[in-house]
Amino acid sequence: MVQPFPDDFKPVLETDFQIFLFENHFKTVFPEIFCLFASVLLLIYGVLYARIHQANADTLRRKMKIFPPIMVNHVSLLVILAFLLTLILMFNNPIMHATIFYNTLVCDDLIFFCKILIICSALLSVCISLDYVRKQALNAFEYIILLLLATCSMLFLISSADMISMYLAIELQSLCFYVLAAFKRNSEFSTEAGLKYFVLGAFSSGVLLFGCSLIYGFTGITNFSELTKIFSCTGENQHFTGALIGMIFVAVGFLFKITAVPFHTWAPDVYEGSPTSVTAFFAITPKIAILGLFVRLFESSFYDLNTEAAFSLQLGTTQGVSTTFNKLLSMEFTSTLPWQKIFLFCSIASMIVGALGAMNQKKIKRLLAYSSIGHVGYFLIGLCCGTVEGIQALLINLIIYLVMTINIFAIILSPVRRDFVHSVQRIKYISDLSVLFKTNPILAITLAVNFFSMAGLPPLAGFWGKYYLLFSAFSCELYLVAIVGGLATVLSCVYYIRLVHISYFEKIQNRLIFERVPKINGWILAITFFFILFLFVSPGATRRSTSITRSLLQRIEIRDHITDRHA
Amino acid sequence: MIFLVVYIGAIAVLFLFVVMMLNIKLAEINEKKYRYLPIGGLLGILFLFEIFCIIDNDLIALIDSGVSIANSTQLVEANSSQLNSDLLTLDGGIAPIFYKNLLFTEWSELAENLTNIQSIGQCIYTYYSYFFICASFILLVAMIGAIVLTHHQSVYVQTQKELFQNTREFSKTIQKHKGRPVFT
Repeated sequence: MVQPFPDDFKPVLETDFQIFLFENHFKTVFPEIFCLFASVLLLIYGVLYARIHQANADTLRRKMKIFPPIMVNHVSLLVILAFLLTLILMFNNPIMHATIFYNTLVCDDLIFFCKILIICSALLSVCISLDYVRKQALNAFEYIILLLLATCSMLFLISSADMISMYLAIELQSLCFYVLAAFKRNSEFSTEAGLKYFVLGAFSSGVLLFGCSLIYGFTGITNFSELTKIFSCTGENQHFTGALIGMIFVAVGFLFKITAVPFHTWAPDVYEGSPTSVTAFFAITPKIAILGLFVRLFESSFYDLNTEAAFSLQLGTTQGVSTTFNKLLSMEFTSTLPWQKIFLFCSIASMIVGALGAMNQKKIKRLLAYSSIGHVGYFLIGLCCGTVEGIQALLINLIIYLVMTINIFAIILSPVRRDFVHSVQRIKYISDLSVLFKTNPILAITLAVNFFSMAGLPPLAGFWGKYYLLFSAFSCELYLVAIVGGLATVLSCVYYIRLVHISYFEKIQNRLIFERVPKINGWILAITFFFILFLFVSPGATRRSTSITRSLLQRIEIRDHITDRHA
Repeated sequence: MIFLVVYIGAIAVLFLFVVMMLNIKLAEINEKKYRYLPIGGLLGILFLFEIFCIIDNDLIALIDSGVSIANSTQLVEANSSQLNSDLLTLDGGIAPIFYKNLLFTEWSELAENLTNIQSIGQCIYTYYSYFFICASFILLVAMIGAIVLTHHQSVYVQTQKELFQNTREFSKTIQKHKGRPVFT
């Protein structure tokens, strides 16, 4: 017997969407919104300008050649302006701590710090490549707009608080990168780099997505903070083996993107093939974004996922394998968390391969690719520690790495006049550096100091980065990784100092002349040089600057208090 | 059904076209067929092993296996039979009246029916609008990339001149030349 419901009793089912949905949220992400709008506006400007130019040329001289207008210069200046304005907006942002857009984005001090670093590195890498882009006739303004879009996506990546927003942001970033790597269409190297990057990047994105879906399948959650809560409740008998495998896949997907060692093979080819200005961007900026995300994912979300006791109990069948694996690596591995194992392995392998692989390289960009792989190994030490000290060391090292890499790429991007091969008007081979001291001694000094710093010789900046990292590794008893880090430093000294030796003492092998360094490169070189040289006066400055991670620190302390692990 | 057939047919033809377009030489495939088999097979077996580990551990009901499903159904049946007996033992007329006047509310009628697309739209345009915008930017980048990487900016472009075409007079399109014909 069905009786209809009385009409006046019917609840109102229309939803009123004029409510406070996202009322203040747009204010929080105002810098990012500005950045996106700037990119779209500049794109429209570029397209319209080219069209109007062409139409004018049509009407003026109908039979003449119509060249596309050279726009990359002023569009890149406008992009630099956009970056500066984004920085200003970022510093004057009224809301610093918020979880916004229905738990999809989050803002806090760590994220703010990483965003500032990302924008600075993008800005500097555009500044140092202005002259290169003009000389190489990369005559398409889309290049610089894609850079801007990639930077925006990294800002979103770092502030994502949800698996879906993280994946979308990283896809946006990777798509920009594929196009940027293949940007020099007429160069075979560049097309190869683009294709290689695309295939491997798509594969790693697939792995990442598979990991996310496994985690979602076994927990029903995509939000990072909720993942923290659900994993912190794992006791002796409860376990998330499915989520553990999902976490491994997520880690592998990101380690692909960051060129850590078992997944590094694409890096030298892509770095070599893509235009040097793009290489400079690749070498610095995405690492900051992904490492910042790592800190948030692995130091808070996956931190408590399956502690060792629960892990070895449940995977009874694989116990034999896992214990031998532990014994193989080190004794202290028995007390590490599951995610720490992955990163410890990748860190040790990256440092060793980075140091050994760079020894036999003839081209400077391949050498720098291996050098960056080695640096990624050092960054992962900071991540493995799982302590506030480690995170701080990681952030300090990121600043120092940013400065050193900007410096070295400013040198490499400086113009060169070559007598025989007119098509390669830049430094390509290591032997090209042999003329550096004779033609431009100041540049040679900068290069030498920078390479000494990268090798980690004591008074320079690079030493302090490694000092903090290894110190934090020792303080949380990761002796093996610290010792390997020290040995890898010694190994990497060999090839860094070989470069200095080539630039100072070797006979001139290639006939080329260093031209006048462009003004903006000169300024950036000078500033970074002084930073590298005089950081030892007050190495605590970088440490203090990273003390804005205190919100993260508090969070970790609270978490440690709750879970009562890891002193 | 007919839509499905047409759709599948179209997709199949599309695939055929793609396969036709690809310049794959059969000999090359045969040559490299077994090259990556050992390492690939090893990784695949490892992966399968992991998945079996999950199936053994995680994909079981959260209820302790001691309380089987049979037990629980028995429990429910016992409860319901007890309830029935309670109702029957109530004095004479009340139980039938209770059953007769019982009001049922069809909740499914009251619920708003939304199609999948509508419900996705209600999520994606309101709470998860950020995802939507992000996805749109991904598509924008894909478009820019495709244009940048494939568009040839050649110097001798024969562009369409709309103004010129539209202002052309009909009477002047075919002209009669006086005098002798001009061959150029």
